[in-house]
Amino acid sequence: MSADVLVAGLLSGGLYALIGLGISLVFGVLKVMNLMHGELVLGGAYLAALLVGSAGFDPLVALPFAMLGVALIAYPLQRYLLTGLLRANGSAPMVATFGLSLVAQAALQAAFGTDPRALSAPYAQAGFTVLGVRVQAVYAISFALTVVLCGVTHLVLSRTRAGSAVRAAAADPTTASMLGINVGRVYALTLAGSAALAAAAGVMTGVAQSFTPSAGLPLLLTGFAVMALAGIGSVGGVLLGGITLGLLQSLSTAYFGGGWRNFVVYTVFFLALSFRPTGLFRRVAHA
Amino acid sequence: MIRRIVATALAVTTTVGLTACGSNSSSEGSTDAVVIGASMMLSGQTNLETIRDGYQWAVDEANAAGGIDVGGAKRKVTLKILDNRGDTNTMVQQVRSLALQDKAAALLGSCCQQNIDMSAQADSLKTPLVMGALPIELRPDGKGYVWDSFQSLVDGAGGFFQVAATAGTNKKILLITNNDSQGKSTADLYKGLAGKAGFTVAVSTDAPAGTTDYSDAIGKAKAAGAEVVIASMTPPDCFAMWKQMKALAYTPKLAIGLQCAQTPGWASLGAVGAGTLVQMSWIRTSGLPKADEVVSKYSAKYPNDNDLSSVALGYHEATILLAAITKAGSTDHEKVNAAIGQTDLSSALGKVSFAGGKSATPSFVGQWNADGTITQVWPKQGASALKSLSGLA
Repeated sequence: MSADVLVAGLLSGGLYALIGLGISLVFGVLKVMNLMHGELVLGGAYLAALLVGSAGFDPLVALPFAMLGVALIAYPLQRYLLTGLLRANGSAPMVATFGLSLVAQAALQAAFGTDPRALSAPYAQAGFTVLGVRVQAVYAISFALTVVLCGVTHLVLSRTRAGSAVRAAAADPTTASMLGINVGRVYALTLAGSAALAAAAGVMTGVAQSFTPSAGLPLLLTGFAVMALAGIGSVGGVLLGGITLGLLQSLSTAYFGGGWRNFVVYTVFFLALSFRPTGLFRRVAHA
Repeated sequence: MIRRIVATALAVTTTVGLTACGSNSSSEGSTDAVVIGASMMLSGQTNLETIRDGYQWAVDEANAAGGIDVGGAKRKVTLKILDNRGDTNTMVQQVRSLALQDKAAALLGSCCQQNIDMSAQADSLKTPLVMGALPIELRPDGKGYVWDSFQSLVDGAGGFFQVAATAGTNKKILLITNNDSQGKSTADLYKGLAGKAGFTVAVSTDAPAGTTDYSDAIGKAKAAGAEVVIASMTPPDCFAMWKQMKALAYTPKLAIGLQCAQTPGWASLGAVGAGTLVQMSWIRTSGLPKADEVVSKYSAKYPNDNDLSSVALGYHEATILLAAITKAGSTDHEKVNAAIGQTDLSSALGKVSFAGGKSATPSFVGQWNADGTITQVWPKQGASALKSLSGLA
């Protein structure tokens, strides 16, 4: 196996981590499996495609706008729909997010058609050589972006008043509410933040790979795998979980062939969950 | 009282059901409209509106001429199309409904795996089904009610190797497919034909749909010096692989995207996709009947030849069926079925003459340009010279 393969697995793990970061954040705070996370990722990709296509933006310039746009869609959904359901019935929001994912998929199909799309950028297919190892530029950029966004998320959660409110709402929403924290607003901001992270992942997925309206499910599964490997509420663990997933995929393909990739990855995934139900990296880094 | 109502309802339902089952087809000898039906994927993961437009075009054309001649009487044609959203159970119900309730004289196909699934229904309902969008080698044998007029995988592969022989490569191939049944049968076909054409499969590998990291296959192809890439994968997989080939400085001289480059979305790859070959059943320079009309009528709505080929396919299928109903002089399923078997005409995809329920249409090899258009490079008639694989150079 060449070093190229190892580095490709490591760097693609960065993108997986970015996909998993938002879903982990929502589950950690709201205790809800957000089944529309894949569509939030796709929302970022399609918003960026609009900006790239109509305004001629570079995808990296379009990225913050896509993050903001998807966050603005997610905020009212949580504030005025999902939080109410959460208070009424613990499992209702999960069902609702599944319904919303179907609605989003249908809307994307109606608006953009079913053909696959990719975001065009000079670095999408560029590469460079470091110490004899060939590196795909877009995955290097994604990895760097993921490290930055993981760092920002960690700092926001651990060093700001908003982060304290989020952690308080996550730990005990009733007590947090009695202390004057607007838990509904905190929840909405959490989903909006998660959606912004998902949108960033969507833009990078669009540049590195491609996207279709029905691509949400595989993205969701990637996010789940990363979250399960990482452990709930562990930002640093999410990064390590993503890298582990990327390396597992590359190594299993190199050693066993592409046909065995999913078998090997998910066998390791289930073994990891069996022996460490709280995630492989729960103790390594806490938010 | 309730029992009586339920019993009456059951009796009525049973009578209606038996009547529907017993009736062979619609309005024999009548002047009512002839109904033909189709259950298609018009929403969900795949949208076959291009094929639907082709069906509608043929029907509109027939109706504009006063309808089709059925046993000496002109009868209008009603095309009933239902959206099955890609769901097999829905498709099965819709096909039964079209055949039994709407009394469709015959059915038109959907696409791909759904055509295979639909074949069993057509056979069990003894209702003729004319379809394309399924290579003729994949048509199930069935009970004789399914008619497939489309390109042959073997012809297409043969065309590719004829093009490849002129490309000045070292004839070493990287063959990569999805690890599903379609991918495996494609791999077997190309491995078999490669040797006969003087090519060597230097690297052969497969990957599950959804794979995004091809660095291992690319590394092996570079090490083996493979200058020809044959990829049979879903479009997103090829998108990721093409970008990765470019980024990892793998520079094959010839590449074909089977299945994956047959989407207008390939254009969104931009320059990276330029020079990639694609198999087609129709192209505007093909010289096929109606080619100019396909372009003039539909190129504003569907600028890409991939989409236009589907419109042509839809027209082709519907034309075969309408001609058969006229030839049968009846909408009786058995008579229409027999007439389809005797088809001898030329339509938008070329000459049609069934043998064993199959009629091979011509295959074409196209080459993607950087501007999102496709140029025919094989066969010679209508072809332009093969260009370099500039996208991966």
